[in-house]
Amino acid sequence: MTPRSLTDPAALPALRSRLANELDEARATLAVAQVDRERLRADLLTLRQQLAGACDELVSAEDRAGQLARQLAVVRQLHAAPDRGRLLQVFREVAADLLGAAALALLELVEGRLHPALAIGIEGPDLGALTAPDGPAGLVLSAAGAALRPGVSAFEPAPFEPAPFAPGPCACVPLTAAGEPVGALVVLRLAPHRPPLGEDDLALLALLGEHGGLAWRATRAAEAS
Amino acid sequence: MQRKKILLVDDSTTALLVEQMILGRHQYDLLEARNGAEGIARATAERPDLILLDVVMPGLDGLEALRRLRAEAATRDIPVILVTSLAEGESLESGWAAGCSDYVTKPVDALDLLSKVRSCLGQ
Repeated sequence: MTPRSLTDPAALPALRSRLANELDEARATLAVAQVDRERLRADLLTLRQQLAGACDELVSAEDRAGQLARQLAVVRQLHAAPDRGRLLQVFREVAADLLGAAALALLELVEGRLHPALAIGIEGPDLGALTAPDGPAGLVLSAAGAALRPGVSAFEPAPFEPAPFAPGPCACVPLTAAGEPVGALVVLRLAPHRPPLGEDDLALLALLGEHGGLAWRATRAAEAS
Repeated sequence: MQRKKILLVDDSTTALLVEQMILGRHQYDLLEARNGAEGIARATAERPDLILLDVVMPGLDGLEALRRLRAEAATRDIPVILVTSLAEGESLESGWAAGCSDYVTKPVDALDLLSKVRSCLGQ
């Protein structure tokens, strides 16, 4: 049945007025909803940015935790080594498993001369040249600081020329005990898949030089006693 | 939620220690074995949810251990992530052929390891 207002011309103005009011109210409601929608969109964008930031922080924290785990493992392993044999094994594990070294030499300083205590991937004349006073280990010991081969890293340039050791050591770190040199660790070559040494590797090498030297002296003292 | 059990198999105590430190912060129960034979024995007895298996080990190496794990009904379906010093080459091809689930390279990157562990555990 058709409502009377639609058939009664006298009622039409009132109907039109009521519908116009309802339309105005609907438009006002829609305008408020659109403002709300824009506000919610902005909130969502902010939340997404916060989430992305939190994810970046989480990734960064995980990465940092991984680096600290490497450092802690090195220190624990070095000082837990009861004898020289085990200590050499720790050096081997750290170099291969934590640094990705494919060739390395650990040189011991005895009465002012360097002697190989551990050599992987290097032998004969190459190893002999490595122990020379003017070789990379000798130069690094006299400079008393770790060095990385130029081009391998953005860190301080090495105080040695890599020419005699093609393609040249990647890194060389002095082993020290209470500030006195006891030897040097030379990383000659990295595994093929390994990216160049970076800042975290330098920190690990520095730790290895400091704690490795102390552990080395401690095992020496234990043997002597 | 039940904690996932991960078996770490590596002859390097240094590598094991680092893996323990990385994964130990994430609510996993960690088991360890020092060679392939011990790894198989622990996997059979403990039924871990995941195995991290070093490739190069004295005695029974990781690839042979993986083949034996896949041959046994009790360990056939356990996901295995190979830990290798080689990014490519024969060991990885052999690893895929033997049924590894994924691999990580040494030196292990914490983010890479966590990502692959979670993926293998369906997390």
